Amino acid sequence: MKKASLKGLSKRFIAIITIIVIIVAAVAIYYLTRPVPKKVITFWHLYTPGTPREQWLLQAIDEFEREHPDVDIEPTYVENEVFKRQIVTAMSAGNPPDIFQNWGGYMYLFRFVMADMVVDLTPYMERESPYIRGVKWKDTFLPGRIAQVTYKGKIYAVPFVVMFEPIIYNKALFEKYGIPEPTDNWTWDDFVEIVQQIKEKAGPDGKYPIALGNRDSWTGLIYIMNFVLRSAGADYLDKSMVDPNVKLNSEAVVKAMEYVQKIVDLDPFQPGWQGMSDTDVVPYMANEITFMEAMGTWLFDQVSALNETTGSNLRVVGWPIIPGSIDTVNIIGGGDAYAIAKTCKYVDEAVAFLQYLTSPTVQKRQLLTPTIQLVPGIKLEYLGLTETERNSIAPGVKRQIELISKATYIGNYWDQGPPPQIGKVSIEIVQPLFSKTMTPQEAANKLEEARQEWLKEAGLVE
Amino acid sequence: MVPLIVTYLLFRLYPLVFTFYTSLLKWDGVRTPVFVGLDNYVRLFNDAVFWNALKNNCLIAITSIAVEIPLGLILAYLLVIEPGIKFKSFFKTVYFTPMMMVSSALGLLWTLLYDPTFGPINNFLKTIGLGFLAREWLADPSIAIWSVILVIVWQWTGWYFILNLAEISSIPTEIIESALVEGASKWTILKEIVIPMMKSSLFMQITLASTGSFMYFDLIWVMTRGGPMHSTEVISTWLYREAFFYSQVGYSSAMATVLTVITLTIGAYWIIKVSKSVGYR
Repeated sequence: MKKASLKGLSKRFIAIITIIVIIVAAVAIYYLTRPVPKKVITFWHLYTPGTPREQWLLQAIDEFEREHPDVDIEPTYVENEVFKRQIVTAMSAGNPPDIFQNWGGYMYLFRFVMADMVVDLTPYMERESPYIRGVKWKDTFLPGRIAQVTYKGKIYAVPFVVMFEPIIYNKALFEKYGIPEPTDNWTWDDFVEIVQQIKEKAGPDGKYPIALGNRDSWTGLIYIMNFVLRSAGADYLDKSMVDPNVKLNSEAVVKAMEYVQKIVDLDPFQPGWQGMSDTDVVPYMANEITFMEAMGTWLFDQVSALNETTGSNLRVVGWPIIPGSIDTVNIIGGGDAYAIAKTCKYVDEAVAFLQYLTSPTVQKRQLLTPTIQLVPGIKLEYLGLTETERNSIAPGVKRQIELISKATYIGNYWDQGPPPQIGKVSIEIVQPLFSKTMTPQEAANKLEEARQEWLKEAGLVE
Repeated sequence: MVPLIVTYLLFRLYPLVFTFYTSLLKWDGVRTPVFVGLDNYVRLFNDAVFWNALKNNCLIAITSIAVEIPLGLILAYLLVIEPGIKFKSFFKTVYFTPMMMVSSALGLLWTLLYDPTFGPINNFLKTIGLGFLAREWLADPSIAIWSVILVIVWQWTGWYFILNLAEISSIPTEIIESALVEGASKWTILKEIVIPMMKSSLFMQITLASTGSFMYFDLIWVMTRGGPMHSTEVISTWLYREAFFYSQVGYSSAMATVLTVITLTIGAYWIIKVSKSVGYR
């Protein structure tokens, strides 16, 4: 009897000890391996998953997180058009992402600044860059780009790339048909000549001079604004948003619009252009159906994704110089910038990330990765390029850099820079102007009306 | 009863009231709103694009009632009445498939079909010698709305087909058989027996078709965004654009309120009509 109960006792004893050991071990393992509570920063970007662009961003985030193990940046991809609506709703609801994409200007930045939702980055900008000794962070960027993200003297976003909308053309196609390529400072007559030659020589092969997808109108607005810049000048465009006397229905503006209609008269676009979007039209460039397109430099990326050879044959040239042009060097465009929402709990860390994104290492990668090749947001001289690296820059991108560095003013589009009244009219006049159901004078008058409304609202005029 | 009322108030009534309140403001969605009373409604009255959009909504409604429902009804009737049709489920699937596709996927599909250079429609016309009929289906402002309406008809006829198939199949077969035996033609049976027996269902279909036509958004937005030059604009796409592209949240709320009043009125009209003619079966 004694033996049996002893055995029973020791069994129970062993069982209890085993359980205690397991519990202690589990608790120990938990405490030793649980993740360190991280500082989470949410981040909305526009780069389609799987693309080189997204890769570039994710790699930068990865590297930054390795250097800062207590920070966890959570990127979320939002499609471009959806983003434009979603950011407004998020801001309005008071829960925007910590870091968000924008393009400077009123519509997607200053409006939120005015609602006190964006962090003022000036103090950080005025300090030395952590990656480029002896230079203020602010001074590492092109002044034109900083101007686009500055509101009432304060800087609210970090421009990390420069993109603009020149005329992009397929060099190989021009060579194939023996048509002279567009050159810098090409005149209106040169432009007309080229379009006519393309129609004569390549028309029978089912090819068209210019790709245009005007369904969403901003593509047509590119034409209007670049011609307005040519004929009215950068200073004029700049002042027109604040100076009551700098009217948007001036002779220069009307003339620019007349030339846009002259382009339409040449019938240079692919069929169905009024109803196609800019993405619908990418295959036309990629498959060499069209010779040229007035489009943002991200087209290189889009075309290369469909046809690498064609992508590598793309070149850029500035806009033709219409008669009476007073500006031949400046550009309309800009490109992406990242801003930090005031609801961000870890502003210093978010700034540190943006500083890393605009560091020479990461910016160099943006320029030199063969499948990306975008003009960096910081000045070229700070990239520290070797001779070999300089020579590896694709010719198309070299020309972009040349054109951008000549510009002292980088203008913002009417549907992004100014307030919505002007934005709305600028979009609404495009299709009627292109289909010639509205005269240039009528279109310009509508713009001026909207501008007057804005000036009154802003208290700049009685 | 209480959960029902609470759900109704929270999810139906509150948004409506809030939308109406917003329609009395001038607001961009972010900055402080300004009270402007009925200004937005006055503006709406003078908005040519809005009236054009309303016209397009009416066109879609008329097509639904005059084309989709009759077509669906006739196809369903033929499938039931014709004795020799093999593979009935094949036809059911074929007619109903468009309804099973998401509107945006459908829109994308038809955008490709309509492509003037590469699309099969124009290429087919050219191949059979009817090249002169080829058009810029979605880019030509004079025909774009009809190109879109064609897709809507293609999408929804199957829905009315299935609805009417269920209705007709539930008519006792003896009635139809005895009518056939007495020598009535198929069309007479349709007119004199089938349709009268389906009156309340048909009224319901007309109600859904009319109110649905005013709320239609997805397909049109995907295919044309309401363009070119507002030729395919409907109220929902215009109010969406005003709210999210032009930051006119107050103005767009006024449009939404007007839209609600229109659909409520149509719905109420048909419901009253139905309740008057109920009891036929």
